[in-house]
Amino acid sequence: MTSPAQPLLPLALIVDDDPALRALSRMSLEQEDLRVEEASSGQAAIDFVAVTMPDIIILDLQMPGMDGFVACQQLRQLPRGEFVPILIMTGLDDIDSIAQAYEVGATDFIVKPCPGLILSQRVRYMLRASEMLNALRSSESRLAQAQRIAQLGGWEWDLVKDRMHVSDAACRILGIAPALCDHSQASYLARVHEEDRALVAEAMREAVASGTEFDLDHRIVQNDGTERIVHVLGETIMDDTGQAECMVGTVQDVTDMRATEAKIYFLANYDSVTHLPNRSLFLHRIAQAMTCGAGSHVIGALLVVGLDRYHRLRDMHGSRKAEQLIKDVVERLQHTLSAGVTHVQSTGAEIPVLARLSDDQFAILYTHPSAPDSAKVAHTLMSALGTPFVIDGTSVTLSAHIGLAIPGADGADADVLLRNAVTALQSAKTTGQNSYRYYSSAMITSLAARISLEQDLRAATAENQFVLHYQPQVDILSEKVVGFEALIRWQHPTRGLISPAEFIPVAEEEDLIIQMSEWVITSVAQQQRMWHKGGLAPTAVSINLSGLHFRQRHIAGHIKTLVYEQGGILRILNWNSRRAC
Amino acid sequence: MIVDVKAWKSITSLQKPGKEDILAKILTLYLADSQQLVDKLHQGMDAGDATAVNQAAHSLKSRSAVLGALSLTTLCQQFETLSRQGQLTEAEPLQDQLDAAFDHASQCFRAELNKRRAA
Repeated sequence: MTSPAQPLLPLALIVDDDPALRALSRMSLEQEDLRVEEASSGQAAIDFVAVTMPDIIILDLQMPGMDGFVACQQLRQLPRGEFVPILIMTGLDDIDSIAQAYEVGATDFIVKPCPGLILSQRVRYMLRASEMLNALRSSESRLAQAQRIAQLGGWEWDLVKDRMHVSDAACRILGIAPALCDHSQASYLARVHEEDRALVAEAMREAVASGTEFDLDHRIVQNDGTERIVHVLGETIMDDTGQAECMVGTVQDVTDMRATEAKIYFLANYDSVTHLPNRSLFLHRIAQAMTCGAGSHVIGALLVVGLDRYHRLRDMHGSRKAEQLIKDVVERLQHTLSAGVTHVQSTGAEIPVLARLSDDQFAILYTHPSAPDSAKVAHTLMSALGTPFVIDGTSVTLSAHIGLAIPGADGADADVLLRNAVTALQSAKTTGQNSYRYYSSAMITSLAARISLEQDLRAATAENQFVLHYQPQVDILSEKVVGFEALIRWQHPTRGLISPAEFIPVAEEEDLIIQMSEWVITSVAQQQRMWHKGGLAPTAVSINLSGLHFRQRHIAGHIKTLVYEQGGILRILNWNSRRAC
Repeated sequence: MIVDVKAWKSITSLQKPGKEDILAKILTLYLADSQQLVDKLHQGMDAGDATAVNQAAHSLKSRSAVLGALSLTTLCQQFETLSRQGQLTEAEPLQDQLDAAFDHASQCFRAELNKRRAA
């Protein structure tokens, strides 16, 4: 184990041409536990200090060759020589030279001959002061460092003398060269953006008048025209009589912080593709509108526009193309809505709020009493979307449904109103393409029935609740059975047999149809194999496939595989394309 | 001729027991080359070299003051002032006094040194 290194004793350098006086000073300083080095001339002192910086220098003024003045001046020029304490020793008759010594950078002086104890005590005092100054300098430099990292600066405004001291760090933030700062409030205000200036001056004035503090963001314009945002804080300091004496404060460059905050706000409240308000912001807008209208007559409407088969289009064309399609849709919606406003501009109507609720749902809120007839709006929007769009150079026709709810009547708060408009949309979807519906409470019941059918259908697919009925196909002339048509039936555990007319549209809507059809193909192939094994002649079986099936790639190959896996016979397996409904 | 022995006290006060005799060391250093400073002063006077006189007078003054040689210090001060003002002629009559004061102080110091060495 090594013992911890002893802290080094402070090092004093004695510069004197007289060996007797050097010896005397050395003895005096060694009494105080200092390490002592000697230099017999100014040049020797400089050579020494250039290599080793002492903690204090005791310098005789009058020496042959380089005198103390020149030596002192040159010592100050050396690296780190700026801060070392230099004690000048001079005779009583040299009083005139003391002023000159201070001018060339002496820290203090002492008259010689000087009793050893006085010299050592003076040196001890100077070392302590120097240590404190060093600590202060390092603390200042740490503070400056921290302020630089935080882009923070300080200022102090003397209200009595109307002088504003702006720290170097604050000057840098304001884009003023510290040397050029004229330390007045005006020079600060001159940096403030023209449009913010009156506001800042007023905030300062008010804080002084009321003896309080102020806290605001404002823009500054730097010399090169760069605009930055700063956060400024000021506190009024009172004197003993309760008069405002000065104001102290900080200024911080928050440009990047505010930009990040704005980005976070945007991401939280807007749709990144269309830059429209998202569901969260839209709900907030509805709530705002309903609060503003409370008590008075809020005549308006909430429309939810749902695009049909958007997800299928996205799967076929990829996200980027789908995003472009959505942008085109938004452009049409906006164009239609603003056209409607132009029409009623004389009545002072506002452009309604348009938002994107989800991938394929948009919402429009009319709050103004003179909003156009909502049914007319729904019509116009649907006919606007009815014109084909272009994806990948091919024309695509979109269909849409619209659900409408009336603020107040169909919901007293934003959540309920929006939910009811979406219910109306879902109800509209059950009534054929390009239709719209106003919300009614009866929809809840039919919607519940539909949702339960959906859930049951999913379970049925998983639990194999379907059965196939084979309808014979008879050749009228020969009266022979020439084949069968396989028809799917749903054996519902509680409701009994359910007609395909009821569940096929739901299966298509919910993307269950493909899975269902594959089950049919597999089952028919198995049935064929059993008939064949039983000695029956090969028989043709027709099956019905949804139109959606034919949007799949390699459909023929896929069906072939399914049939062969089960030992079915493909060449006599017919298929009919069922109209997708 | 005055040598203020009380001045030695500020030196002896620094003395630590068992360590080298401080006053003896300073006295030895004084006696070793102070005669040279006196000689330089006279040479400067003879040559009319005010700078040489000034430097020698200053150095001799400083070390003499530390050891309490008051008369010698005062004389050195006079040489220093007059040489700075370029009035070497005015200083000429002081040369003998300087020698006398230096001899007296040196004797005084040497006696103390002998006493201390004997002790």
